[in-house]
Amino acid sequence: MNREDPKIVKAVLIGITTVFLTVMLVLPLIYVIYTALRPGLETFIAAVTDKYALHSIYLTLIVTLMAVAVNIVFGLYTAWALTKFSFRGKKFLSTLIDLPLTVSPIIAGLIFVLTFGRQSFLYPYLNEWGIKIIFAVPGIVLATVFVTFPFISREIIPVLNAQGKDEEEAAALMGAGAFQIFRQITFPHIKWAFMYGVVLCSARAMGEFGAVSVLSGHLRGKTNTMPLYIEILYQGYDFTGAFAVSSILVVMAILILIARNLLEHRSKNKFLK
Amino acid sequence: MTDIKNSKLTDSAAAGTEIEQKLQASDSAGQPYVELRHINKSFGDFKASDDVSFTVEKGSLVGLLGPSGSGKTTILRILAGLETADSGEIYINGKLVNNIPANKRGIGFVFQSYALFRYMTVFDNIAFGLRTKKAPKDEIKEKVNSLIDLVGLTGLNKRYPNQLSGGQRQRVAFARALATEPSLLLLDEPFAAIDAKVRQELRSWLKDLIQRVGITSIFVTHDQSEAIEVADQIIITNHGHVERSGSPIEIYSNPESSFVTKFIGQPTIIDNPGIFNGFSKIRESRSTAVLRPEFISVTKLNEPFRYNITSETGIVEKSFFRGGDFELKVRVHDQLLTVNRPITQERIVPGEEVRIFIRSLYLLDGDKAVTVLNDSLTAAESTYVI
Repeated sequence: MNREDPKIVKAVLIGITTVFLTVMLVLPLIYVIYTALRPGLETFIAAVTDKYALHSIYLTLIVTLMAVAVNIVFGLYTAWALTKFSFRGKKFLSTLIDLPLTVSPIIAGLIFVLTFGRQSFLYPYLNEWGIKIIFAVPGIVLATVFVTFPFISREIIPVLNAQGKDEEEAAALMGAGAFQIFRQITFPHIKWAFMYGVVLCSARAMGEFGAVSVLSGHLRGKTNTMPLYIEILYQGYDFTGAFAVSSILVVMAILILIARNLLEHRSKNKFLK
Repeated sequence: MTDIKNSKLTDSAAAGTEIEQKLQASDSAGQPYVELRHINKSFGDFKASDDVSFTVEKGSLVGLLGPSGSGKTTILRILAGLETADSGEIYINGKLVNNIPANKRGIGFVFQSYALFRYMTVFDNIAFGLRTKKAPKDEIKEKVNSLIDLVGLTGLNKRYPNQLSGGQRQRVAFARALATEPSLLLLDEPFAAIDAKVRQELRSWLKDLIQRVGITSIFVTHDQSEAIEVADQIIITNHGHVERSGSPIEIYSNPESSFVTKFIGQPTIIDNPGIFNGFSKIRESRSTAVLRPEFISVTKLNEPFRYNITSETGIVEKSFFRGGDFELKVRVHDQLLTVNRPITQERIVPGEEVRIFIRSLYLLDGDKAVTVLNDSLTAAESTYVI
């Protein structure tokens, strides 16, 4: 056996990965920020403090917050149900959770338009109650929830599966109620996976374009989230504006990435202890 | 009392016996502390419990023994309320507990994995049940500290489970199960996860401690030496049903059923036992019998021996050193018998021809096993058979 071989293989693999990531990720990211700042800081500030730009940032944050909140509840419940009980159709449900990962977001948007739009049998009732979903904020939230719902439960399920039911059963035998068991036994165990799921879910929610695009109606200052607003600016040849708002979204994504790495680091330390 | 007697007269006979049984159950003197009646439980097609019935006396230490998959753990979990029986009745202290939730049955449970709360200290683990019951703080502290002392973990209050050895974890699990003063303690394979040397030590520790606390306890094990050593009463399960129940000595010396005979002790199964000298009364040549090493004595050909007429000669094929004695594999009538020879006697080596004397054997007859003595021995001479 030639002992040099592994070293060469190692160098080649690392080299290819680095080049690939540089071309695919680092260069474009730097270019976005560079283009946004090239016409000068004043133009940049003007572009991002534009009334519609500010509203799109605000809407993105609100939608992300709501979608994450809904998915926290949904994700915890689903993960709990799928790991602690065995029942008919469990496999089917488990597969169903992954649907948003495989279905194109644009189809997700269309599904909601069909379900809640004018042609739906639900429409007269919604109209009567004064609930507007399509081309309104609730629709955007719905679409975002749909697209991001696998993230939290998918992170938690493996951890819960690995833990088994013994600790919970032991606590239940000692008289602990369901909420006490969750708070004192289950949650400390899934805390890091849960937070990691929240981070992934937020990142995805902020950047969602396809499904939201179908449902929003692109009303400036009303239903435009950041990705939609960027698209409009870009289509209107306002490259400076598009890149300026993009750079804000990129910075938000990078912040979340840093949060993710910090969490990963902490959870590793926790397990090693 | 008279009311019930009257109603018994008016009711159907079946209902009458039921009331009678319930009356007996509520009578506190001399009744079993735990009673299972006709418990059935299936998981899909698998019958985990098949008409399981047994009783446990107050204050006794009972071992549920059986091969893996024989339904021991299911019985324990049904008793604890962690599983629901498909049919049958469970009585604890004379009370029907089928519909009483697990946490109200007054049961302490030690899991095979110990199930210690990994994000809590030793102190918090043991205090968990007391805190749930909202006991006063000083009382919890006093109680938990005395339990920590009792199980010999003084000074380890602030440790987390992953900072403890297997034996220490088991002690914590035990203390935690005892904290809420249960009336019944259930232990699922309590020694399975511990290495052999510590296991031996823990066995006698646990037996001693359970006797000191005086709590009725049931433990599950697949290890017969563990059951024999620790339990006052052994219940043997096989394929979901109870094969045999009795004291360790009773079960060991009189296994009764064919399954128990082949399961307990160190059995060697032989065919056609009638060909061995001293057992010619066994005529059926297709029968099988079970021998244990202690039923057989082995002597060198030059050593004097009393029952020469009904002994056999055989060739030693293998010899294993077991510490206090040698385990010899001796071929007699083309069958391999296992015998023990104390280290203090003259060595027998492989290839040597030896004299073999079979005192007795268990003749298997369908589900039953009967003891058959060597013709040279009368029942009075046999020290073994009761």
